[in-house]
Amino acid sequence: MAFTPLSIYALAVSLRDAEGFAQVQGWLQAWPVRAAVAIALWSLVHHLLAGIRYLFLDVGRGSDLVSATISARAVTYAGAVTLAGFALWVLAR
Amino acid sequence: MHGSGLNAWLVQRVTAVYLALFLIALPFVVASMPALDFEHWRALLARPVFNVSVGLFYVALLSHAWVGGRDVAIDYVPNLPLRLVVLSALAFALIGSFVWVVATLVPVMAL
Repeated sequence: MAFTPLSIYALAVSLRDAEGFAQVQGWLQAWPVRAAVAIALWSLVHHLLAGIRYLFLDVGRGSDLVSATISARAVTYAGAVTLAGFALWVLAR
Repeated sequence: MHGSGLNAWLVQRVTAVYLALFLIALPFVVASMPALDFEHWRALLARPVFNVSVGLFYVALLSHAWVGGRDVAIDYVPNLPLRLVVLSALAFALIGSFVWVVATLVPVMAL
């Protein structure tokens, strides 16, 4: 939730002038910032996948116990895979 | 339908679909920029279609956050005066964020 105002702030600074744009790029070079962004993106991807799962449940698909268990695991594992990807981005620094 | 929660449910789902489509499209839009520098970034945001799409993204995000935050407050803050304080604080924060987004995007748009 804290990332909503932070994203607006970053957007505003990046659009101000060339120095502001470079400033935001500079923030994204620091590993603690990257680590925080990686965790936020992981949360977001998990939320997105779990949300798509709920949309399928809404229309009555995958509601049986076996399918629901499989899709729940798939969402959690897919989120973990993206976290690994974001971790590589942090370590690339 | 008042009080059934159907409105909140519908707002949550409709905003979710827009948020999902925007977030999936965004990396492709950024990747299609000729170069990732200030001039191209500013030019991208100056395009009314993208400018308004970003504005709608934040409207959807803040509305989505209101439904989710309200659900959490209803489920976990049983004390009604305290719940009112929590929901008021959330509403002010979300509306303030919306004003900030408008103030950020409107001056950049090419009319």
